[in-house]
Amino acid sequence: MKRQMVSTLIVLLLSLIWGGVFPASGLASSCFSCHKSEDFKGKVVHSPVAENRCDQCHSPHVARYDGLLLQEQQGLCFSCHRQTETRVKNSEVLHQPVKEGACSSCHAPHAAAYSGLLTKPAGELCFSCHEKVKKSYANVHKPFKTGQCDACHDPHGGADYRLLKAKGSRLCLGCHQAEAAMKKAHLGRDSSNLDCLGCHHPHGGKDRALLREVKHQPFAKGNCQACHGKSQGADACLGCHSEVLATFNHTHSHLQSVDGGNPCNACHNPHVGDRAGLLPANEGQGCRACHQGTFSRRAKMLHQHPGWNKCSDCHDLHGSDWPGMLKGSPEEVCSSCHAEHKKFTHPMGDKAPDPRNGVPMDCMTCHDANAGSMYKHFLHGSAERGLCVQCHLSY
Amino acid sequence: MKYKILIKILGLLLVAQPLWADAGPWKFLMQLPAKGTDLKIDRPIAIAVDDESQRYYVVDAVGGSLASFDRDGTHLAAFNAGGELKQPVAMAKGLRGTLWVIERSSNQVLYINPSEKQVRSFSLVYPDGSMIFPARLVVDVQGRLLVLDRMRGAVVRLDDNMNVEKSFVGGVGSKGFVDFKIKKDGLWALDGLAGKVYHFNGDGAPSTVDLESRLEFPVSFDVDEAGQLYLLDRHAGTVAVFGPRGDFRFDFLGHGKRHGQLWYPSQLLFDWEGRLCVVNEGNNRVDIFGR
Repeated sequence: MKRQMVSTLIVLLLSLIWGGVFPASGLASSCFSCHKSEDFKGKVVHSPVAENRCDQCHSPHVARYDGLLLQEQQGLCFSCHRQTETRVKNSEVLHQPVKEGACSSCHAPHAAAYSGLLTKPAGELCFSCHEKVKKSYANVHKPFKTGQCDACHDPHGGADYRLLKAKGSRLCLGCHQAEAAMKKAHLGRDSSNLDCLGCHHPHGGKDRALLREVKHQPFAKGNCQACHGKSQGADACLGCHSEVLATFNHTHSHLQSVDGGNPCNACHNPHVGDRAGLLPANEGQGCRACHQGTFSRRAKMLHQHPGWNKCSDCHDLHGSDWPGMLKGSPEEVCSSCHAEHKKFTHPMGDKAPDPRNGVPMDCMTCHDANAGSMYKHFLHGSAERGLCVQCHLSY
Repeated sequence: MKYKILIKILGLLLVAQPLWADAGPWKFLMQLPAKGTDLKIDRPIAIAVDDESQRYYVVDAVGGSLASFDRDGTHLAAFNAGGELKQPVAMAKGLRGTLWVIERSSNQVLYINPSEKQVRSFSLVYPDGSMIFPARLVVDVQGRLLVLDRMRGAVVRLDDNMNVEKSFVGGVGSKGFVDFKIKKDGLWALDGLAGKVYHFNGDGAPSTVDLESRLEFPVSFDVDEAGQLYLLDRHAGTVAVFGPRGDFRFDFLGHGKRHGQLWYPSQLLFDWEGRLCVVNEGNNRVDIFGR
């Protein structure tokens, strides 16, 4: 009996010693024997780290994924962050790092000095990629000034490409609740129906109202009747800009009325804009409103034409006699930049009809510069074989 | 009792059978101009059919002419109205052999009487003097001309003096009509960007069909005898078929340059016997399909 008690005590003692010297694998105490524990400390600590549960994310022995992660990064994060996963799955447009599953582009997985385990202060973190957005303004919108980008943008995803948290004026009215003052400034109109971002720049501007900088002359002079006293159709614009009408007289006209009103307003803001023509600074933004399909298709492609967001480089935005509203024949449009390429290209034109449809070959026969493709140089197929055999069947 | 139920079910199946047949796959019949012929159409942009004479008229925007074909696709004639057609973009057959054509270079509607070699041109305006930008046109059974105006995204019906007699417009949130058709039960119009098809009955009262799934860039449509909506998606190169309530049923064809594919298609319509005609602009042909 006595012997049994002694041997039991010895076993217990040995197991205690073993446990102390060789802690269970996956627990922080064993990991920190090699990995510096200071690297896992910060103002904000990821809860598995705080709980010394390295094994919640890492396999201590072998793994298929970098960093000995138990699964690919985003799936691993979503295994706990279910709400974020739902939000991402319900978003029509995703922030690029989210789309790539690279959570660690913005978040430190162990510890950080900033809430949300962000690797940098919120604004600084955003500007590290979105450099062009960082501008100085005479008057600055408060969230922009304080780097609170997430006051308006959802950093994971949203319903539109700007990842805005709400649609239309709802976004702005969340903070700007002085309805009486708002009505006074907008001729008594119901704020909930206003397109705030159409006229106001959400980051900053020259004046206190953050109006976009290029102003339509009658608006700048307060001469509202110059336009509003006339027909609300395109005639309101054509009365002064009569020379523009001829630019629509093409096989493919870009006239597109909205709500039966003035078709010019489909693209041009009648009051203010970011650049000449009272257009938004982001050219593609205006086109995307109607051509969302093209933008979505392009977003899925591996290879896209550089500068694809500057649509007017290739397209005539009022009208064209060419399909796709190109500025001219595909050969003319492409060679305006790729003049050299024209000298060594595959035969094109009337002497080289496409055997599939008999139409003279042009640059677009092989390239899709519009939506891009999954192949280099945005070819319609692999340049090694797939593209060529579409016509050269005997190859 | 059981037998009665069985008989009713069988009866329903027999009635429903033709509807299933309507949704079946389409088969390619022919192309205009026929493959291998010398006739060249530079840029087919629109098609019109004459139910009476069973002819097809293909509008060539670049060649500045109209080409006619018989029901078997045999080329009959090419016509440029004595050089008056420079850039035609749409055509409709009028009464007594007359033609109505939209001439884009001048933005006018041309009335052509070939037998009298007469061409008259009209610039269309609304009663308030604002201009109409004609994009498509149809002549109804009473011989009245209806024109799609891209300026307001509306369809207007004109009287004998070419004045606007009635306007058909979409409701709140409309993005403007891009195509319309006249059927026995009234006027149908496609609001492509809003994903809606409007139906105006004889009194002009509108009702709408919300399409269940959004297409990439619908530009033309037609309604078959079973009430199914056929929409032409210019960018996707497909024809999508929806039920009378806008429920998506199937789509066919695809984006490309081969036989059975569409490259920047511009218009779709049913001919006198329900054959589906698709103007395949980018492939320089009109494809005709039968059930």
